[in-house]
Amino acid sequence: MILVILTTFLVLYISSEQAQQALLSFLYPSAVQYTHSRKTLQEMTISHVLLTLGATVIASVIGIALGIITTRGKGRVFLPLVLKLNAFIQTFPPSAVIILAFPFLGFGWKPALLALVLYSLFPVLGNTIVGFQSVDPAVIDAAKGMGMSGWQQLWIAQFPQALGLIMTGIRHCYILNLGTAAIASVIGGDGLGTIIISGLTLQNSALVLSGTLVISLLALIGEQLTSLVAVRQVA
Amino acid sequence: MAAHPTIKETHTFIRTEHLSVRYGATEALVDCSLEIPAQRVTVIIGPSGCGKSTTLRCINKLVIPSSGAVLYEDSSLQQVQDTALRRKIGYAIQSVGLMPHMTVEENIALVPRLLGWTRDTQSARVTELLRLVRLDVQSYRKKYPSQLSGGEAQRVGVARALGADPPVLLMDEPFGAVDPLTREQLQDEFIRIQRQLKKTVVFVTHDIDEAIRLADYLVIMKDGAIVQSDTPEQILAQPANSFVEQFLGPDRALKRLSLFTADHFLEEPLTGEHDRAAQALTACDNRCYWQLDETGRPLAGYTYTAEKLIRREIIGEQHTVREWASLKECMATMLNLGFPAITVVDDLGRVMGEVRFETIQRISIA
Repeated sequence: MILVILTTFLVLYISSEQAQQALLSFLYPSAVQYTHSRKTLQEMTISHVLLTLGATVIASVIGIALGIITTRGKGRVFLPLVLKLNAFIQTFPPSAVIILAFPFLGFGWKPALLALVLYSLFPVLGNTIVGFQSVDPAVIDAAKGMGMSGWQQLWIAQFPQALGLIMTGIRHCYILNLGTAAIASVIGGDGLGTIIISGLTLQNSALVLSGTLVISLLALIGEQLTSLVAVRQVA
Repeated sequence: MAAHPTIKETHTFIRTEHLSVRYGATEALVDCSLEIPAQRVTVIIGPSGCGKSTTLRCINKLVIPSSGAVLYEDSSLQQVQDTALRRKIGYAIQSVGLMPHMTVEENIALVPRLLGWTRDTQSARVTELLRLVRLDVQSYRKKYPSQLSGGEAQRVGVARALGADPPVLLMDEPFGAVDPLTREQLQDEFIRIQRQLKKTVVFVTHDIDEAIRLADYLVIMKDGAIVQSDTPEQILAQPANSFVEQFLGPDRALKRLSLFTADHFLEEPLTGEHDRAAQALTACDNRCYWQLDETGRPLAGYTYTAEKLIRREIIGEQHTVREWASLKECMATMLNLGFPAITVVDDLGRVMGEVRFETIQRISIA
């Protein structure tokens, strides 16, 4: 229900310049302009969402895969190393990554995507590891004793129990990316960063708010969507 | 004469030969050779760290021995891969290890599911197993493990171990984590189920009373080695050394009595409808005389104590036993009554015979 209301509001807001003007002029009656001069809010939202989702999916796949590998069998040896490396990567400021990656990846969305993936790997990987470690050893012993193969133990016994924590990690990763994706515009990647940075340089708070509002709505919608998955898993 | 079926009238199902397991410097199992009789309950008992669980886990290959081997004498367990082998060996453990994200039904159907049974066959099997462990099919089927009590979870654990009707059942202290009353109920249920299914069971416990109650074949272990293995009657009668003696406890003679049932030791009683005890008994022969009502129920008992004839009224269940009572219960009832014998009665409370103290004495000496 909340999901439907939020989505409707978002769609209405980004697709209609009148709506943007009406809302923003109410808050900032003296602003010079209420929309970006070159791009529509809709275009910026779509590229922002694509960048965020892309980074989230890639970080989740890498994070879950690394988490699974380092919590079972011979992979356990690498667990401390991976955790330390991951924490180290997390300390890279995404803006620095973008600058450093620029010589290899050039302008546009590619360096931004790289920066986001590195930055948001931590919550997924960390939660996957904790999720698998929290599975009762007796359950794994029973699963093995029942004659489950390694894959069956993972898929039938462990993964469903770790899923709750993994979903929390993915949600965290999504929110992190949503906010950080705004910096993509400094290297020519599109997104809602464009309108926010324009607003900052023009000292126009209305533009900043417009971009921020959309990001917040996207965050809330994402939260609702992932909690739907989590609820279904418990029930 | 013994209450348990003898292990000699069956063949060896699984054999362990010179099994040794080493974890680094510690030796968990030292040269352990064991023959597990088919369709009987083998109980392995010993203090913690004696290697009993390790022996069990060698059988389903969860532990790989450093030397020696487990030989599967029965053709059903030969030439299969480890996972396929484990699906043919039921496994129940103390912490149960039910999958918390699955219903009781899904948990019980796990091995059938691994074996690729159809949905209908799985579901029918779950119904059958829930009935077997006496859990209401309708109300328990869809419950989650977190909604079960310790005893119920353990029943589900046993049902799951029996999932695909394996010929062998390994049980690692399955009743260790529940309260004494529930434990006794679960033991009763286990005895009932085992009489019905006749599986080859290897049962690990550290509770000597449980071991004596359930075992057809008792294996006592210490520091990774087998100290003594025999029928419980034999071990209680002749402990191999002071460790076994100590482990069995100072009341081992009484424990041993719990292995024999009254129906095997019935003797002809002195009875009558009227009070003719004085004529029937003499002061020196240590016998009892039972006064019966017209249907054959005991009303009172007479015996000589210190050369004086005494009379005691017989109060139903307090002073009589049923034919399946153990000699230990007979002994306790004798002490309740203060007589050298007690009457054994049938469904309607009629006297079937008597069990005498001298019989119990004779068994204890033998």
